[in-house]
Amino acid sequence: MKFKNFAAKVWQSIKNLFKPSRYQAAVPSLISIGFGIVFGILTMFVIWLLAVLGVFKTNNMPEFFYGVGVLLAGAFNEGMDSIADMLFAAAPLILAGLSVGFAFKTGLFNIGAPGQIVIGGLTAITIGLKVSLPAPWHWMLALLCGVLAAGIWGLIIGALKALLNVHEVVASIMMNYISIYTAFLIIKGNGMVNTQTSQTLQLPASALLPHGEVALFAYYDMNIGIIIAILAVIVMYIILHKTTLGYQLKAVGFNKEASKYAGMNTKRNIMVSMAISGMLAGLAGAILIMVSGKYFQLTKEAMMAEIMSVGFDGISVALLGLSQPIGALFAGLFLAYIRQGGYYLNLANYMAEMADVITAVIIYFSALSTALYAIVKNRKIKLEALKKLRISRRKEKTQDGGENV
Amino acid sequence: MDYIIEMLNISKIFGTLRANDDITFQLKKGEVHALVGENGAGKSTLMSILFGLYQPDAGEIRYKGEVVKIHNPNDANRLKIGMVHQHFKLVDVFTVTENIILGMEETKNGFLTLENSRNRILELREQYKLFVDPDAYIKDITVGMQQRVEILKMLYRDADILIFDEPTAVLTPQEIDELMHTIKNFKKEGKSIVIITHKLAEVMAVADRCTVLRKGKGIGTVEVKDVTVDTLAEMMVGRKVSFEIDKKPANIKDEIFRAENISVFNNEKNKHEVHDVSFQVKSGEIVGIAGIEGNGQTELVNVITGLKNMTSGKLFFHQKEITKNSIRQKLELGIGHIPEDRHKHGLVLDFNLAENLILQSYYLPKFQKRGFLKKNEIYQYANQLISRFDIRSGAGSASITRSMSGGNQQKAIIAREISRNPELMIAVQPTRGLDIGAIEYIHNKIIEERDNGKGVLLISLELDEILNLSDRILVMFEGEIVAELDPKKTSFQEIGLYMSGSKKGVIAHEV
Repeated sequence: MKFKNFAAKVWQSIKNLFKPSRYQAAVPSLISIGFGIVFGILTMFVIWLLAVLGVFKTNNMPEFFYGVGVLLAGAFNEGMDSIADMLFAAAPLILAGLSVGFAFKTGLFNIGAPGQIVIGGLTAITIGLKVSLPAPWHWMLALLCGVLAAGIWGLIIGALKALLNVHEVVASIMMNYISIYTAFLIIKGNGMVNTQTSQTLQLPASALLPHGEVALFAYYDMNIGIIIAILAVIVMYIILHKTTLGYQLKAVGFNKEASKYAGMNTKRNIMVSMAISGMLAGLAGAILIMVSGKYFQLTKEAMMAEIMSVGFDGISVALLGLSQPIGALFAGLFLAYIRQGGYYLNLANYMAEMADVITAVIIYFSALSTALYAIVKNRKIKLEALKKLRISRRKEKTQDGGENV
Repeated sequence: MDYIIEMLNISKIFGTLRANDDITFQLKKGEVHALVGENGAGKSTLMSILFGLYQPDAGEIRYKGEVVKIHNPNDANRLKIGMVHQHFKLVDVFTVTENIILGMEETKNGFLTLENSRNRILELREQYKLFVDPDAYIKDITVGMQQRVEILKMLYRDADILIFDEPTAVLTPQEIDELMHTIKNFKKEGKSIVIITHKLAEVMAVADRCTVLRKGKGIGTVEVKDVTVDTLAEMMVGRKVSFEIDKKPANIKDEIFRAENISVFNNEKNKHEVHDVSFQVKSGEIVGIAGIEGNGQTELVNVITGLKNMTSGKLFFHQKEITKNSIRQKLELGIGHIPEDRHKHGLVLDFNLAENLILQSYYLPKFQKRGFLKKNEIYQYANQLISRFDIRSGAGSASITRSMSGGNQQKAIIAREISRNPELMIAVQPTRGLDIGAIEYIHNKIIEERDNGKGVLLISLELDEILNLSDRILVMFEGEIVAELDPKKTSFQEIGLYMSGSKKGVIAHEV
């Protein structure tokens, strides 16, 4: 009996969760997450089926049910350890998502986040290796300089757009390549390379993001990155929703012509917007690299795969999070969660890339689902309107009939 | 019955909107049938259904008594239905001939053969006296000629049922007369004609019968010779309408604004969009600028407000030069601007009403403190304006402006501009696309501004509006001011001659 009540309560609260209109914006994202996971599970099933039927041979038979369990358990597979891993991985994703999402909100597509991440990381490494300072000041300075340098990197893109009318996507892509080679130039030219491994040198402990001693923060890689990310989310939320700056930037993003008409300086706003977006990406880059055992690998491919990919993930996070700061927080956490699941999929003889398949499907659907959702909603409204029309007609007819009698 | 087209009990629903609700429309062979109603009454939707652009949700269409389904414009063409859309569907860089044959080109070995088509067009041109040069490019001919091309396009396809959607909106009074004449010719030839319009004078002039729509419902069909304009207006609006605007004599005082020798040169088109324009606006007067669309009015306004740079010229506000001032400086000095395109310039559609009402003043201490918006004050202010200007919307100050009706969007803009208390109000097409109630309201507000000693610069394509409101009329043609007229001493016809460039006046510069 007690259980029944409890279940009813849970069901009600789940229902309530979807009811209020303020959640409605998140519905398309949730739908696409659902589709993505279902698609992922189907793929795993097909792989399992093909293996069982002997279509392809393998020594390590995939275990379907175990695999699905592991995937869905995500960051809960190994208790606190994997939760800490998830939070650690989520921090740069959230920041990159914030960066891209903020630019979206102000009408710009910052596909330059990968480059800004490289610049943020590069600056943090340079400060870490070339400046010697005691512990808290050293990493703070490195972080700050990373943020500022990437902000300037973003500002360049904004200035190109505002002053010379160069489309920000084109400028961003160019700047991404420039950022890689700038990084190689500065790192190699200033003796910051470990010649044996062709990696950057290990940063001194004073330039690493601090570890904690308590709770989650005592685990393996874990550092204060996630706290910085959450603070950034709060700050961005306040800027976007509570300040005149955010008001202006959004106005320019939604309708540049109307903002100009209202006397806003649209050119300055575009530059400010790109600079802020760049700063967030730079923060992601610095957090990514100011960790023990993290290096820049000095080949283009490795940079693309390890550092810049975070920036591209930022686009996914921003899409899934509907460009909202809070959305970026949840989307970043979700992405890290499902990747943790993918990481443990090895145990069930599936590839870890399964998580990427799911992410990819989710992104496709979140690009589509807003449209799908709108179609479904319109249809519903229309059917209701037609129904009402018929009812009112019927009433009129019966009334007419009554008069005749 | 000799109905050629019958549309019986047609319903069409868009989202929650019942664009057509059980409308019946019957067209007799050889008649001119007017379809009137306010904006949003469902006229265009009904005709688009007939032309196959939309499918009705309920009801049936009969052609000569037989039920037909019209799935697309090709089906409509087969039934010899032709339509001239409000916005012409012409390819700018093609010639008249190429545009007319588009979709039914004659070819020989895969190559286009224009000779036969061209001759056919020349024949039609003679037959109906629709004079256009078949070899001219669309971009080089006037709007009136473009309309003739659209008409020829229908005739070329042997259309017997001709639908005109708001055909006179872009024409000068002289061109309107010609069009009416052409329509009467078609009637003589036995063609059936539908005119969609909201101008009742045209209905009285040319139509045999008239069907009135209001808010998606059919109000009735009447013989035009049995009714008066007033009855039609009442049917259309649902209450008595006064066409007279109550206006006190102007109390004109000092100069507020002066433009001196403004020119705007367009490098791409290699011509002057605005050429050597000078005028002044005084306190307590409404200066109207009349002209056909695209004769430099938009550019002139953009230059005055700062949205566009001028090539040469000077602007003065209370005798101080403001030529180089930024948009914000001009706004702060006291220039209000009701923009031509309320979606492009007037509103940030994704913002809510409250946010839109502070679009130019969000940075003032009244609405912000150290960069943080004062939400309470902003919403209070919005609520004040909402009740003072009677802006209606679903969720009050928090409604997203995109979801509001056009009339209320315009009211919001007018509320914002008037409440900023500007000395000079520039109103561009302030009533475009609005229904009669909203138009009355906005006209009264503009006159109120004038009576409060403000200067008003009114730019409109509607001659009625210009003639009724203005204390002084300037006419623009090809970027120049060609006449300065007194509304009490001029007429539609005279203004029309100036608008089309057939007459040039001497302008007395008082400057």
